[in-house]
Amino acid sequence: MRISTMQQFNTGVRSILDNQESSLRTQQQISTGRRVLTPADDPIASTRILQLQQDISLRDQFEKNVTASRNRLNLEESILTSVTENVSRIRELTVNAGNGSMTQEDRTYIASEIEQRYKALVDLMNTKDASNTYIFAGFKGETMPFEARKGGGVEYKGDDGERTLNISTSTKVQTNDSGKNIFVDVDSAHPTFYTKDNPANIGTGFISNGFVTYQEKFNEFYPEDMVIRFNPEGYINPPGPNYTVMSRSENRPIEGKDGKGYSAGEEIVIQGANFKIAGSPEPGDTFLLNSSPKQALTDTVSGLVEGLRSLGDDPEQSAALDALLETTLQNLDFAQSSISEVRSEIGGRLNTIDNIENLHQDVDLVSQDILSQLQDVDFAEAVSRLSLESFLLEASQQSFTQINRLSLFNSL
Amino acid sequence: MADILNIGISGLKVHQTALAVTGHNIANVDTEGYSRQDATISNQTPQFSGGVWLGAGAQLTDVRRIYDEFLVGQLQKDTSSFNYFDTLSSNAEQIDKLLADPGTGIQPGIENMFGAFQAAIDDPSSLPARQVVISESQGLVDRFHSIQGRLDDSNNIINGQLGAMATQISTLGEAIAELNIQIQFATASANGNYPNDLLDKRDLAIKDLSALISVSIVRQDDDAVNIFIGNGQPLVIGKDFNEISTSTGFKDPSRDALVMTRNGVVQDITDSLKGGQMGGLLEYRNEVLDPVANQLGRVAIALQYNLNEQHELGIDINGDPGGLFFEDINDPYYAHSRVIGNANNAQPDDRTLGIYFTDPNLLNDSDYEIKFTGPNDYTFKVTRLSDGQEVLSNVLSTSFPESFNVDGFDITFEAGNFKEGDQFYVMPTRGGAKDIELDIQLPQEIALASAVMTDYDVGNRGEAVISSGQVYDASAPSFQTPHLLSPPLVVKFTSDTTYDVLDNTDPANPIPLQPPIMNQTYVPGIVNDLLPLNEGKTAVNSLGGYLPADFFYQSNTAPLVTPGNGLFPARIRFSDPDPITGGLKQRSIVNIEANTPAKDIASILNAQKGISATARTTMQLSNFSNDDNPFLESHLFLNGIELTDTLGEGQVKYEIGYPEVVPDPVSANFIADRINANFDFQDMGIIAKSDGSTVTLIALNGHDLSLEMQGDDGNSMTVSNGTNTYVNNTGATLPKPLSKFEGYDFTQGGPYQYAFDVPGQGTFNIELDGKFDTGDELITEIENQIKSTTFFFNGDLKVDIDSKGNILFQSQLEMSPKGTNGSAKLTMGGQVKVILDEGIVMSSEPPLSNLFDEFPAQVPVYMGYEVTMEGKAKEGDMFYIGFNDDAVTDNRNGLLLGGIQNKEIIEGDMTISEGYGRMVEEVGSITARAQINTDSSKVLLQNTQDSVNGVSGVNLDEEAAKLIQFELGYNASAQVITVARDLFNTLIGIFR
Repeated sequence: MRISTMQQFNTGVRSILDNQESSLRTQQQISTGRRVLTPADDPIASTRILQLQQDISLRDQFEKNVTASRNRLNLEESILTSVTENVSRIRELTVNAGNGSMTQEDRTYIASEIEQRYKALVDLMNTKDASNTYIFAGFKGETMPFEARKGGGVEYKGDDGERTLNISTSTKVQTNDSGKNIFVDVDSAHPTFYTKDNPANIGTGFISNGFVTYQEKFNEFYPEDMVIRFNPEGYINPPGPNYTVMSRSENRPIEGKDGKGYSAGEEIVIQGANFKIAGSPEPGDTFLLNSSPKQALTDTVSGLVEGLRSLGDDPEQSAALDALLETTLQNLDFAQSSISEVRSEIGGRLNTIDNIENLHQDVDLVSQDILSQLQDVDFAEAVSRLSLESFLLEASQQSFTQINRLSLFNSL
Repeated sequence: MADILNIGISGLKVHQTALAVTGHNIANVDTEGYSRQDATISNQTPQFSGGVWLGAGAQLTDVRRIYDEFLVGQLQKDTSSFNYFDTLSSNAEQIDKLLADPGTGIQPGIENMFGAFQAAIDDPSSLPARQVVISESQGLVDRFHSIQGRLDDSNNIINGQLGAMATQISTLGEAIAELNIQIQFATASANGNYPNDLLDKRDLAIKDLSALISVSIVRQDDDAVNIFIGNGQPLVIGKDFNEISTSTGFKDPSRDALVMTRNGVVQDITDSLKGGQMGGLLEYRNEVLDPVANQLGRVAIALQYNLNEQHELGIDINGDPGGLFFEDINDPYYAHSRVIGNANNAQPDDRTLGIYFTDPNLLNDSDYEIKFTGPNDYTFKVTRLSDGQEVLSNVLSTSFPESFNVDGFDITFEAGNFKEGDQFYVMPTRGGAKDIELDIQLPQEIALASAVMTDYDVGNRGEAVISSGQVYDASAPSFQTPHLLSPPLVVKFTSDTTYDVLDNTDPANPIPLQPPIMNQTYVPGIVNDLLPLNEGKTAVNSLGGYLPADFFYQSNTAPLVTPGNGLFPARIRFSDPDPITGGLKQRSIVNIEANTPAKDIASILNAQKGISATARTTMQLSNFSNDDNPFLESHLFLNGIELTDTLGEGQVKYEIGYPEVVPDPVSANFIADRINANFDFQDMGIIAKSDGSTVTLIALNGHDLSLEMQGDDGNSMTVSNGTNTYVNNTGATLPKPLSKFEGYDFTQGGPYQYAFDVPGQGTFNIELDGKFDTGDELITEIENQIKSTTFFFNGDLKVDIDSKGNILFQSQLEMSPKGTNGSAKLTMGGQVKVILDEGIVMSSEPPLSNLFDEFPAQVPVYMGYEVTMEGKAKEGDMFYIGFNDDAVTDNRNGLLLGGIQNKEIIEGDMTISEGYGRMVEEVGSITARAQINTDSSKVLLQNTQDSVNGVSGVNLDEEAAKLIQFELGYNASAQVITVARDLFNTLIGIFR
């Protein structure tokens, strides 16, 4: 075959350039440690790499969520432990108060200690977390959940919100429990009720916490609710502030309770329920008295303090005290079991978190391994390839000079 | 002797020329496109002398170039295809690197943004965590913009390169045409001998042209070549050439088009050009740049739409509605930018079209073309360009705007005079990555919380658990007022398995919703949807029980008659949407006879497809009285069952604990208690409620309520259908609320205007003026005012002012028996609630019926959110659904926002990352393919180049050898002359 001079040069230069290119590429792979430098090097692998990288970063985020939810649950757990200790102490004190040798004065001292414990309980129930939000307020993290009411007692101001966090694509873990669920929604030994000012009221009236004075009578009325509605002054004769107590299901006035004259702060006893309304309600304002098979822990304890202070030593009051102590003990046990139930749920959630974390670590190991196989360069192979390529480059350079040095013109 | 001399001279001349040709070859050893030349030497014609033929020396017959036409043609083709692939791959490589680079790719931006969301979900009340969401989202937006910016830059570079290439092509075309002329002239003047060097030059020019664009060459008999590009567009014809230049794109002005100007006519040849660098650039633009922009845009749009949609469902840290997170993808500015009218459309350019996304999850990454195909100005076709599929063929009506849905978006014709031949280029997703912008500004505005919150009553005895609720339509009427749920609801269990959903605006007195949700069935074992789902259903209510003008007198001597409920007959017609015409298709008429009980109307309507109807009858009794002269004992019957009987021990009619003693007059409480205790009424689903003075009788399934009253005319009570009409203040606000126990002075301030709505009759207005000393005077005045309007009613009008000062009235009929000879009877019909499936339209004839309006208002039944419940409930249990106040630590909407990362929202089967990943993979594949093709076409080109060089290239050693050869020949010829001179000298010496 005929070879032209230009061809001879071009071929030599081309082989030098080719060898330079491939050795540069290998050198790049070695210096970055990556086999796939651009998606075009291996389109399928590079898609897998993108997916794996996203999986890994997602798991990183889930890891953070794992830590965050564990911290939250640990905090809640430790607060509930303290609450349990306080409730246990209150229970002991209640048992002590039942000792027949106690006088009313002795009981007052016990009442004082219980009151201290009560305040401690409310403080615990209003615990804030590191981000300065109340942990038992449901979704209303910046609203103090257990707030003293105008009418006495403590009212739950939070909601029933349960926050969840994703700790894997398919697993959510609940990171809080509402104070309502733990401390308010507690079984009661006997039917009871809770009161509520209608938020639509325009007057300044407010209703007290109230309590059941005649349990049997109230049991008859249960589970019906009451609505106390204030009427225009002209509703009674002579005109004056007045109210009507109605059964809630029908709005039917309870006999003898239609158009009752109102005086602020007066004790009202209806169907065994005892409560007070104070302030100046406007006509049309309503107050709700909802009967309930539950009693809040705070109501149980505050009722106990009240009873210990007020009930005397005469036989009738002594019997009432015994009944109160018995009911209180039962209710405290219910409160304890409500708290333990939540604590065991927290334990379960922490278990789930641990399991998921282990799973994450295992999967992560596998993903990293696959990722490395897909994108990392095999150094032994690459280095030996590089030495071969540099050898070839050198050879092509030498042969180029050798061959082109020969020319017939040299001999002319 | 002269012969010898001549022979010698011819040898000298021949070799001198051969040496010159060799020298020419040596000189052009490095000249591109040069073909080595060869001098052809032949012997001269011999002379016949002395009986023999004597040779007459050598002569030069030709200088030819060594050249293989086939190889040169191959070289041009290979040059073209190498340059094509090389340009494609080197451009694609840049995009390839850009997309995969962690510093510029979208993937890390997506990860960072959703990572920030997760941190905010963990701690929703933390403003710093929320701020990070905004900055990371802005970061992602910036990444979209920066990649789009690079794509735009790339496009601008392409436009520039195309221009430069067009100029080069034109220049080369001109050069070739000029060479054609020169070659023709030179050949003709040299008696057919070719000008080798000009031919080389022309071949080189053609090769250079091939590097730019694929050409086809036709050689003419007259030694000229004609050159065609694309689909046979003539670049050079003999001595003429046509100019190529760039122009603003016809379909898309941002994409420059290539045009050929031919005899003054400009022709768009962009789509026909192939091969070479220009073909590579166009291919890169069509197969890499535009699809990448489209796919990237689609990723941006899917993200923008889904995040916005979810964000709008939530509420922010202040309880305000979520609003937009990114800017609205359907902003008209962006919508209009997605369609471009063809530059050749008829003037004036007055058409406006918009592309509005309806479901970006269905979007593909294709462009579309709208073409008004004629033969008129309103028939058009839409073609999806990726697969050439015709996706829509329709006609425009005359009214704008008119929308047609295609592949997840609406094409909306908004204005202008569309003409036959109009073309529009639709790029739904092209601008997505450029247009994405963050709308949200402040960290507080991120809507991590959900707008609804549920609660259970601590008094509940059951264990049913209510879900916390999920919003699916923030534009529903429920969310019209910020910070409120309109209305808040209470779910009240009327038995362990039935519940009512009531308006809980006043928790002391929940009232039915409009349309009502009453007596719903609850199944303890499953997850129950408490509220109507969003299925496009609408509700129609009948006008309710009809209060007659007077009661019916049943004479003892006449046959027993139960009066009808007074409801008119009606012909009801349902119409279904017709998918073909887009109009309505009427069904046959449903006939309702006069006096049909609501229960039966409901069951007749229930037989219709897509219709479900329920009925409920309400009647109120009040003002029970008896005079002091009990001439006859009063008896009261409901649906034939006596309510006023006195039964002894062992009765089986009532439950234990029923009121045994019949009071005189009967009381509301007594009637309610008797009805509720009666086993027959319990079976019939008839219940009663008393508020002490008024008893409300309810037939839960729509039975007629037939009342019969016996006794003397001293007994009476009033009957109504239970419908209260509120008279609402529309004028000045009263300084203090009205009371029915006090007078009122309306002369101060005012005017005090009021209005009330009556279904089927319209709105009526009254105005209160003057001074009233007592409550009774006030009420009488209001009654007179209402009566003086054209409002039509039966019975008497009874106005009341409730304890909050609201005015309401009822039409009531006083019912009183007429003594020994008969009784008073009245039958009350019920209200029918009709639920119609999506699209069904209801109408009723004749007009002015008391059953249905002629064209009843169809109210949507969905509430925009859903709430579920499971577990065992107990009668009396209550659950509350309200606005999520102060929910600073609620993260429910945040969880859903974060979930978008793993939601398959692109073409229904890819997450955002997968959508992006697929695009990277596609670009990678195209690049890899182009790289492989570049490498192989490079080898082919080199081989061909080698072959050409092998044939036509100069070899210096060869030329050196030739130099020696011809030098020897020259020397020898010179010797021949020397010999000839010696011969001559010898001859002369003889004669000396």
